[in-house]
Amino acid sequence: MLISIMALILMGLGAMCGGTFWGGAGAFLGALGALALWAVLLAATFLQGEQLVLLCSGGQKIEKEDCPRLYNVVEEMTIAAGLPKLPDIYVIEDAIPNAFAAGRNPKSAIVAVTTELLARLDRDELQGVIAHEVAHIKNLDVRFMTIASVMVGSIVMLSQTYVRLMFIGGKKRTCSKAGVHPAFMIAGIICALLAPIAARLLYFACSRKREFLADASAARFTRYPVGLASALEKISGRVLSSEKLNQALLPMYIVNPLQSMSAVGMFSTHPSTDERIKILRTMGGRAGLMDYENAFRKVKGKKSRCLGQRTLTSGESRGIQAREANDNPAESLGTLERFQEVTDLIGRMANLLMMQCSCGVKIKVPEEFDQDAIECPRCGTVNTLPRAKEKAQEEAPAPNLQQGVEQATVAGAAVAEAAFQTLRFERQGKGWESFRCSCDRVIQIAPSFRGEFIKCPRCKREVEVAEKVEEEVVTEEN
Amino acid sequence: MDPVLLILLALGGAVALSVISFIVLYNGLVTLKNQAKNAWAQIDVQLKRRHDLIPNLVNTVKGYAEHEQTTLENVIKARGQAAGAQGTNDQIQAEQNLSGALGRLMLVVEQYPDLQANENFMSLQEELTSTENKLGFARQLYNDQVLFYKNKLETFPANMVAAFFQFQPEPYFELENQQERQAPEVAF
Amino acid sequence: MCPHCQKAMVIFELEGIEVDHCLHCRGTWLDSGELDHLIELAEVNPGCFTDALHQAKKGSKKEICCPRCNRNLHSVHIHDDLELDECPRGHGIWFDQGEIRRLVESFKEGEEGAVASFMANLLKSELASETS
Repeated sequence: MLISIMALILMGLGAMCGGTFWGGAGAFLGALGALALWAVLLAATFLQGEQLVLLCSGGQKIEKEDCPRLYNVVEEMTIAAGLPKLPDIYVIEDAIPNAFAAGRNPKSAIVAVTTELLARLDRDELQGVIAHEVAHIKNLDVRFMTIASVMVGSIVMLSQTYVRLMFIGGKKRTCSKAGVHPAFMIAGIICALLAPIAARLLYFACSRKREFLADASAARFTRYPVGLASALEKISGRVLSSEKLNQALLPMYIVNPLQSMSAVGMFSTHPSTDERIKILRTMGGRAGLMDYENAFRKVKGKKSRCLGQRTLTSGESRGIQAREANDNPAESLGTLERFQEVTDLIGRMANLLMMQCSCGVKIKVPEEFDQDAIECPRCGTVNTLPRAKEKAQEEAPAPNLQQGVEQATVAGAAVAEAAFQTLRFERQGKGWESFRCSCDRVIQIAPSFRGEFIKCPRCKREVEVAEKVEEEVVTEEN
Repeated sequence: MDPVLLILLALGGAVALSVISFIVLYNGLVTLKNQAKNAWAQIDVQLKRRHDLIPNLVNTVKGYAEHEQTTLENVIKARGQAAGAQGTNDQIQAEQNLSGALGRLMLVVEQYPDLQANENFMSLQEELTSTENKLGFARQLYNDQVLFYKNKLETFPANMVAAFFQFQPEPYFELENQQERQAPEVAF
Repeated sequence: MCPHCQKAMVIFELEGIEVDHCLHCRGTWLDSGELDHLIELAEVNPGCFTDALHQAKKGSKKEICCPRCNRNLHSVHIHDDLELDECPRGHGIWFDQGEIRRLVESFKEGEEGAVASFMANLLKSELASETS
């Protein structure tokens, strides 16, 4: 296949290097050396550890409560693909709709999507995109592409060293030995210059093939190629939700959404989106790998093929019927609901405190906000922050605490919304202390803790931590 | 070399080769069978999940749609039957009935905008939709696995091993009635 | 962060539109996407409104910075009498206290009126207290 041609190029290059400097036997050694170089580089890349953390530094891992729709869709696709484990799901706050998968093996894979993608795509489309990413995981594409890219890297390295050596040391050598014919030297240099280009082209061809395979698998997993097709249309920015509007407001965008799509790095190794959409659309109510292959031939001409014979025969033989379009309004969230879902998700990711005014206006308060009350700009109601209510509570006599450690009492009798009920813990001394939050999570307080509130890592509730009050202990003893 | 020894060697080689290939084929079949079983387990998980969701759903709907007692009762009855079904074929049949009953419930429910706006109901609906989808995908995976397994059983040379150890093909999880097949998918 | 007071702003979600509002100086920040969304919700042809923005005279660099990208905001003059501050990279628009009310007033007529009244509705109580 393509990768073996790449390996041949690598070995040929190595042989050429060896041959020029040490003659016949050197060619064989050079080829082996080139392979060894590749192996060493590959080992280094794998040992470098998962770069996922780096990749997702802008993203946050989400749980089911954060975005049930996304979580469920990923779960569905995991089942459809028969992956051994649900991949971790990350959301990245970004104005460009995009998604990617990472992870070298299906057991520790991740799927990441941007908030914009969530806001734009409906369930079927999201399913298509996730299916595509899950297919990458299932087909071990990340591992494969790492191997291929390291090979490209070693070819580039080798050819550069060769050319340098020829220019620097070559002159002396040719003068002194005169054993190597100058024409051979020039041919060698040309070959060395061409090899990296050829390798890159092969790499891109590999990558594109994998994309087609992932598309085909996505169609097969979802049984609904139209979903992915329309998602691609939306992502590529051709069919924006309100075309006129976006055209008119283009200067208002952070980055031009039409331009940005061509700049998304990931897509440069992708086949043209037009083509992918066309193929998916010509599948015409069928969803098997075989059907994808047929559609591919229809679009690209009779002779071309995209999926290997092996992939095709290991799958179904007859092709698969696609499912019907899903036109139930109850299932698909409206644009507004989707938008809201995403803004809530972003808020939760940014650790904002959510409140609701009695007139229905949602108020999101950042942690560093320094006032106690917020006047609603719509109805004029003054909304007190829960932590301010806490302060008011503090002034009132606090309930007595027993000597035990697990003393977390609900101090929210006056607090209207149950969701914002706050817990209170009174410190017994200055050392390490722990107590149980109402969500059953044990929270530890370090001796160095000086703050007034501590956030429960599980339920995100703020728990007030009060200093020990001397007089109360006295009254308790009486 | 002694010709007798040569023949013996060749025979021994052939026997060893056939034994090895026999083992490989047998293991391959067992793996495929287990994969199908695993896929079935996934279907089971989703069916259980659906059974767990239904009482919640019925309670939520009850508060809004009092006139739909019969539909609700049908759902509960179908759930009871599905939960108590024995054997694969019975189970498939009972789950199909449950899907049908649920589908009818969801159609009825569309007439109650208050209920549709209820947050509890909305999240239940998302869960049910997703469970239904997962069920569909698990079924899809199971059927694929069963097909691979069946193909293997019927083709040479695995069919010899299969006949010797009496491997049986697993039944497909198929919904016979086209309309019933559509009903839950449209409704959720 | 409020460009003026450097304090945290509160986000209000009004009709699905997120408005960043500083409770110290009563200024308002509208992200470009939100403005987009607002016009969409008001169901008008965005043309006239954006035309006004385009034709507006670009003013000088201001001292205050965009809360998103920290670049200096530029002033824009709409309908001669109204000066808004816009992010040079298009992250959004900053309204000082009272500027929303004046924007609403200057866009009262024609199709923009729908947008203006929609906006007026968003911050009803606060605008009322400003005028009184």
